[in-house]
Amino acid sequence: MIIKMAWRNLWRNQRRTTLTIAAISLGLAVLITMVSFMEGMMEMMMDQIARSSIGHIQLHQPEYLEKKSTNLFMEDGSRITSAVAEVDGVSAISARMLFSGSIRSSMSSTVRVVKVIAVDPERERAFSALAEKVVAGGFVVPPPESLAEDAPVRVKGRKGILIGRKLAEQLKVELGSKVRVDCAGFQGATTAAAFYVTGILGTGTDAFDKGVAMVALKDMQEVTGSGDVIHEVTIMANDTQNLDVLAGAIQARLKEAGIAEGAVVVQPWFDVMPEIKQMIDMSGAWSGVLYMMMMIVLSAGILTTMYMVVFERKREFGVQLALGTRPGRLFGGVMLEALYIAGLSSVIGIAIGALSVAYISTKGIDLSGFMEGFEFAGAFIDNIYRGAVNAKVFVEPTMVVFVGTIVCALWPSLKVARMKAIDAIKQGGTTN
Amino acid sequence: MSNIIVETKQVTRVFETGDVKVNALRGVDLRVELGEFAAVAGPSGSGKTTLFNLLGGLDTPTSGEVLIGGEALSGMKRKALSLLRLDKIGFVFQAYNLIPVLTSYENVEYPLILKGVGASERKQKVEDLLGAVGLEAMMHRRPMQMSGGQQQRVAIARSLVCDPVVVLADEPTANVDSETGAALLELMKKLNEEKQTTFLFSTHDPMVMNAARRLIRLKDGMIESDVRQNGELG
Repeated sequence: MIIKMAWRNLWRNQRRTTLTIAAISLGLAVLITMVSFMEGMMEMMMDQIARSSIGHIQLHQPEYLEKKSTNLFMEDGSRITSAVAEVDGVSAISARMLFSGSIRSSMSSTVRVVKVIAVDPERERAFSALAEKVVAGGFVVPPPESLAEDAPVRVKGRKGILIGRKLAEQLKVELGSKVRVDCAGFQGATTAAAFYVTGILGTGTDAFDKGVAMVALKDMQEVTGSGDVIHEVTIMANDTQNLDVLAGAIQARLKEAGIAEGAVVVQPWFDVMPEIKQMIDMSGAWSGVLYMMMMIVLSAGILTTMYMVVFERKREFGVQLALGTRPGRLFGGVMLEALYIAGLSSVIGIAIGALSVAYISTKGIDLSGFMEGFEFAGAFIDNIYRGAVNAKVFVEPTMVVFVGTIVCALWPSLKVARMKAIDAIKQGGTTN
Repeated sequence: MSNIIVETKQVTRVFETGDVKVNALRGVDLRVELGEFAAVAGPSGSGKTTLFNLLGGLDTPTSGEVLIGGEALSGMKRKALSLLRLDKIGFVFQAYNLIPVLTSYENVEYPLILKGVGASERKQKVEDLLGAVGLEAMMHRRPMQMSGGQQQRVAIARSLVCDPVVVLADEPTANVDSETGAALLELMKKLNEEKQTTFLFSTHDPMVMNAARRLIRLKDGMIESDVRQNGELG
């Protein structure tokens, strides 16, 4: 009967109950949407950071990250790359040489400082998000004329370069134009080489559109005369939750492949860039703040409703006590009403939230009207955000709202349980 | 075996509000025996309601002792008092005080559920009592769908459903017209005679005073008179 009574009591004031449930449901739906958006944003940023530059795991010469010297390279680049590619759990791999240099063209007096990234185009295309941002030409491809069978030797030897759109404008070059790249080579030598523009990159961020030039790894190894050396290997993992385990497996595989112990250091991304890990942790803390703020707002509504229940039905509770009802039963009855409110609100809130998440996870929220994409941690971050769809998005906000509603009902319920029958009957209001 | 159902021994009740002390009851000695149909009458402020609250275990005396069915209420914990009210006392309130979300059947059934009585026994008792008060056709109506007199009949049925040793009826006819009041009194008198249920009324309604077979008059917190009478309706 307590269940029946609680349910009927809930609908005695239909308008108030409906409004309360509507407010909590909408609050929950908003919370689910916001958590989905934040999770999605973090996932996208992490994915793009991983795909643009740092990957999930990186390999370097042990001192490279600290000193960033061109001379701190890993030898046997091909062997390292092949060995790592064989490890289970590695989904993509990129081997790179990295140089600081300058770029100029005969069309302009401008000389620009750029980061020259030499990559294996095939591997990089499978790995990097940048290949999708090529607006003209190809992604680190050789000049078409060099591929012709009857091309003269000097034409066959031409090398392609991918540069940013703004850099191309500053250098007044276009596809097919020749540019000259000077960079610090090995052992203090300076390397100078001519490249032909075979691709234009348009990310919308200055860091890439003005400051990066990409060339083929084999071309740079040839130009610098370095042989089979690389500065960095970046790896994408199938399972991002157990990167330490994968890093250990890679280290073991390198040893089997005959790579000298101590010649290469294998690190998950959060060891390479701890500031990004901190940012993700901070985002988790912000979720907590968001939950708390939402619950403060919602608890005002819940408390008002539950207190009105106590106030309006005081005499009724008094009569029930007089009839011999135990205080615990009255407490249970009021808590059950709160449970109904929490349950109904959760079901409706999840339903509305699911529709909202379905929209933002498929269509995304396009912020291009308000902001351009931006560069973060060496990566291009897009300006279309898609919501994440996972259990956390629904479970955490629902638990917070559900438990919060029940907790808010505790105080009024205790008040009912502590009532004295005689006082409640004397002071109470209507029983209808 | 003693036939005394309700007993008070030198009961006093003093209410204090700041520096003001009000002596609502001043040494009341009262004994009500099994099967009595008695009324406590008196003007406003005479102490009727205070006495009924003490007899119902809803309030505690400042001094003295209250016994219901031979059990002293003083020192009883809240839980024990709840059980005592459930087992031994039936309440009929002036404003009926039915639970509005329950039907008349469920209102009568409610104390039996609190007692943990089985479903079939509950059904039998509730139907019998609603029949006895003439409401078998209104079992599934809620209080709002019934007249004042009908609601009070349900309240009477509810007060009797646990076979209490005494029914404390606080101004049971105050909110109904005289014809309905007379019918209610007749009903209670019939139940008193048939079931030997003890009824104790708090009233200032002359009709109730006349119907009672014992009339106890309270004045300024003391028993002014206590007389046996024929107890006639009409």
